[in-house]
Amino acid sequence: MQTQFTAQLAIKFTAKWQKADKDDRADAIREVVEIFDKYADRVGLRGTYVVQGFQAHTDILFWMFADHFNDIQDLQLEIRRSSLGRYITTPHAFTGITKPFEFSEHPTSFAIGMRPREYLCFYPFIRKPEYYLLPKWERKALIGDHGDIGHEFTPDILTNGVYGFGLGDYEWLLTFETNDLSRLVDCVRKLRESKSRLYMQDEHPFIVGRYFPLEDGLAQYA
Amino acid sequence: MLIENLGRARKALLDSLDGLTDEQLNARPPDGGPSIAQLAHHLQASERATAALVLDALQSRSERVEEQDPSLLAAGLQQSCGHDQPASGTFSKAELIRLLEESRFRDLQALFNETHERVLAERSLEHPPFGRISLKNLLDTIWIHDDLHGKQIAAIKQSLRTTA
Repeated sequence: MQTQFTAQLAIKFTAKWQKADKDDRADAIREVVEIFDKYADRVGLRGTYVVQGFQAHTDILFWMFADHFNDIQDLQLEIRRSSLGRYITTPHAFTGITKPFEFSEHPTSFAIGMRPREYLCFYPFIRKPEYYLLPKWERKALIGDHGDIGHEFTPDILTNGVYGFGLGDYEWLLTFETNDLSRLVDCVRKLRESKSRLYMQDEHPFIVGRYFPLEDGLAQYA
Repeated sequence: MLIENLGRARKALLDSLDGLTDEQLNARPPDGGPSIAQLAHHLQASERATAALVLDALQSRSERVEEQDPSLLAAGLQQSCGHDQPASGTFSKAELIRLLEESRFRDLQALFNETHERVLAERSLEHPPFGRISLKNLLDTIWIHDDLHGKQIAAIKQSLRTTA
């Protein structure tokens, strides 16, 4: 599997955004669209997700992927320097990398050609240190049990798991995609019965959002 | 590059269906060949069958064989596709996309959740058009197949535009 970098960038509009002139807001959005267009051959945008109603800490989550991290960082810096950058904070930023998992390839849904779904549910997590000290066969059994539960929900719930070790505070970054929030709730609830949960140390923040094409997503707040 | 090729080719295939009506999808081209819908249906059925073959072959021991060139795989595929009867009936775009997504995520992704790409390169099976072929190469035929019929779909779209 070819490794790729992924980025989940959460932005929140400041109070100044609503006070800005309507035309200025439209120009700022257009500028961001142009930035993404400029990087289109290097940075893929899986989706722009409107978080309104799910979590108050974030307005929009961008989900990007690229062969080279620098392209993702350069793009994000251009957004920060753009007109929109004056009106946003970035409550969360996560970088991950696609790699084969320990017991199987487990490619991301976006890598194998699945189209984005209407909703995203993203969360980073850390396992307890004891997990990594378990014998390999036991880890394999735990992951197998977890996978079997998850398999019940395919293809309604797409999975995208990437490594975060050393790139931030978290070890794993997981993104579910679905057209059916009810199935998402059932899936996450059912996964609570997996024994691997005994080794979960921390999993927050959850960020849930609704898919929009870039310009439409930003325009929801204009 | 297996996964990247699978993703790239499938994305191109799905993109090629965008903007087509159900009527256009099911229209037979002037040469009497299969419709776009029949080709898309054939691709998902073939992907499903290939994933099942590979999953089955993983259960038994087999030898490592040399990787084959994609152009040879394409030639073998073209030969075997000629013997397949197109599915009868018509299909809506929503149904085709659902089938293509199911074969990709339920069948192929499930396979990759069982094993690693390197293991697929170390195992093989006997397959009529290709002889003894590595499991990795057999999965390569899925994206090569998407590419092959993708070209055919592009030609049909062109003919539909000409006759419209």
